[in-house]
Amino acid sequence: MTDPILTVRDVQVTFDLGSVFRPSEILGVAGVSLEVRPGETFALVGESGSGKTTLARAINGLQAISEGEIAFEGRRIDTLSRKEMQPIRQRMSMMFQDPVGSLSPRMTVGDLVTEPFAIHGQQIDRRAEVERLLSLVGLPADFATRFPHQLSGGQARRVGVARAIALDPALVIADEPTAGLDVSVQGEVLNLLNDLRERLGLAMVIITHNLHVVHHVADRMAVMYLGRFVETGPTEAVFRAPIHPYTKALISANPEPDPDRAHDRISLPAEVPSLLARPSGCEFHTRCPWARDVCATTLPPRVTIDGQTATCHFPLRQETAA
Amino acid sequence: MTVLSISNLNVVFSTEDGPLHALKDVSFDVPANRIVGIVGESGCGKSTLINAILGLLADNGHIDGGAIRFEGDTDLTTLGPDAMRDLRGPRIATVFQDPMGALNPVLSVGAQMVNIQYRSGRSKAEKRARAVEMLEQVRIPDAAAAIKRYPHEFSGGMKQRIAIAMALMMEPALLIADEPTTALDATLEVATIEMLKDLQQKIGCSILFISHHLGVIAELCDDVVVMYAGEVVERGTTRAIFNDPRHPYTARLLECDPARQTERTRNLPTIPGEIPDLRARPPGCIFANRCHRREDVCARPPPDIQIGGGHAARCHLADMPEMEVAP
Ligand SMILES: Nc1ncnc2c1ncn2[C@@H]1O[C@H](COP(=O)(O)OP(=O)(O)OP(=O)(O)O)[C@@H](O)[C@H]1O
Ligand SMILES: Nc1ncnc2c1ncn2[C@@H]1O[C@H](COP(=O)(O)OP(=O)(O)OP(=O)(O)O)[C@@H](O)[C@H]1O
Ligand code: SF4
Ligand SMILES: [Mg+2]
Ligand SMILES: [Mg+2]
Repeated sequence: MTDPILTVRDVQVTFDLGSVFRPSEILGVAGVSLEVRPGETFALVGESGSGKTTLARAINGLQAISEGEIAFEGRRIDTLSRKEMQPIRQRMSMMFQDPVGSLSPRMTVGDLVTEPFAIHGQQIDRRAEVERLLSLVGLPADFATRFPHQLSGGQARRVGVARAIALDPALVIADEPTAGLDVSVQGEVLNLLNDLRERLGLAMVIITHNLHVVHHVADRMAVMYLGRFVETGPTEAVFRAPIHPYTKALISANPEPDPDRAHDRISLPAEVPSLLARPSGCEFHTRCPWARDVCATTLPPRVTIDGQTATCHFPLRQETAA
Repeated sequence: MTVLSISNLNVVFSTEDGPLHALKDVSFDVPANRIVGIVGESGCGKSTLINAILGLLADNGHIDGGAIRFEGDTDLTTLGPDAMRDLRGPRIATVFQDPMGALNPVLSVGAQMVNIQYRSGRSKAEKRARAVEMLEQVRIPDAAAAIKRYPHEFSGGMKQRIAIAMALMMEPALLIADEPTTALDATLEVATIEMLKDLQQKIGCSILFISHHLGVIAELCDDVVVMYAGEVVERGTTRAIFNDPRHPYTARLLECDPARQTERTRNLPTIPGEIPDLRARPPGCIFANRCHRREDVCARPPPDIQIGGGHAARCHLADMPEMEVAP
């Protein structure tokens, strides 16, 4: 197996919410580890506020970490200064949540897709680059003179993709790349990312709430809950047989586009605990239909079955006897 | 009874490159006690439609013909800004994707819920009790204590449910919900939908629900309106739309849902082509340039063909359903 391009080990991110009078801290990311290999797509799913964006920002060096290590292309990067991080961002680009809002309204599409070169002080043949990038993301060359408000949601997303791949990165981190898009345009953007992944050998980290998307595009996935990974593994295996009750509830809750379908769904209490008051024992026990006494008092063990890992006292899948 | 009846609504934005016809001859009803979903491609005019109903169109936009009748005779397009302001909130409530748009970060949830009842004639204690009752209805645990807390002390899913509680507090006739569950994980999304359905029945209001998530639409809505490039291309009951789509755009849209792809695939289906330029609408069918069933007749504007039971589609071929290929 090739070496990972990205390694995240036991990373924690702390936010200080208190004042001088009432200090208080929360763990936005509470110790997560992952590896991504070249050409691989890794999906992050989980509840709103579970720390997905914070983790992405930490990987990209936009958010300081309080514990752990992040290595990219074999080099530790979490200790680098802002200036030292700059060249690394050419190899690792980020598509932000709400890319439409993050395109400056006064810049043309041509300016927007070539801005990364300007930021990194690279001399380019502007005309040729604009043409190359627009054609890579399937936009006609005459779009170069348009402004963001003259683009549809899907076109704006393509411009975001063009910016993300402009500097020929090895890793793209895409935060909700298809939120707010209809299913056809969503398909276009995902096909485009996948095509670029294949042609350019990109590695990708995709953050999304849409489990159907994860199922189709991701090689491996992690499920986040209150800043931790409760389950990770190969996407197909996780969908076929989840180990953790939260993963199982997520998969069973996913509404299907069929009005006549009867749902046999695991319904969870909707009260998500606050990061200011993390539950004892297993942090999922307040919502878990399988929880027993031990879950409220004791940290659950890590269970690994065929490369699929979860933390739970009562895993839904047992190790197959060797 | 019909709560909202939109007929032949047209909205035009003036732009540097000429007028942009964002809504064209939009007609549909929201009957009493029903949940109506709106689906369509990104940029088809959903937000424009909501803004037109609420009297909040951007400065460069105006209504260019048509009527929006609310609770009987009132045509909202003829009301002045003050009359519209009185309707927004108490009679027509809204919930958006980001609940913080509805919540004031520096006021406790209880204070905000008391404030919005300012014209109810209730006493302070009654308002407070009503606030607690609404929080209980949206299943906020320990509601009596929760009203003292501030918005940031709640999770994203709870904030959205508080926003829903506030929207429904004055028992509006119509709730407009624009992608209210997209930021939630699937477990909270279904919990929120179920709660919305319960409350809608309890209060007896109607809901206009916008979402790109076809699964959510199928599960929540009684009726569906399908929009494409500013036109209502199809409308009908949820069953009719999902089981017997008559407009080729509806059929293609449903096929594109990755939820329908049972086999794992890296190549997701899409609808080839682009939407036409809304500043230069084609004279014939708006979907013709992308339509797999296009015929010569499609160069002329299609009528709204009635299929029965309120099911209608704006397509020349709507009464000739697509044939399954015989075995
Ligand atoms: N700068 C900050 N200061 C304090 N708390 C923060 C900050 N940024 C994020 N948080 C908190 O950290 C937690 C994780 O937030 P994050 O944005 O990473 O979640 P997310 O999983 O991306 O959610 P979503 O799906 O809604 O985008 C949340 O509780 C959030 O309120
Ligand atoms: N103020 C404006 N000036 C000019 N054009 C506008 C304005 N507001 C919207 N439009 C155009 O009108 C059309 C409809 O936009 P609208 O925002 O209503 O779409 P939408 O269906 O809400 O899209 P989305 O799914 O992306 O939210 C688009 O082509 C858009 O570019
Ligand atoms: S450890 Fe217990 S509470 Fe946690 S998920 Fe497993 S069964 Fe549920
Ligand atoms: Mg996020
Ligand atoms: Mg919109």
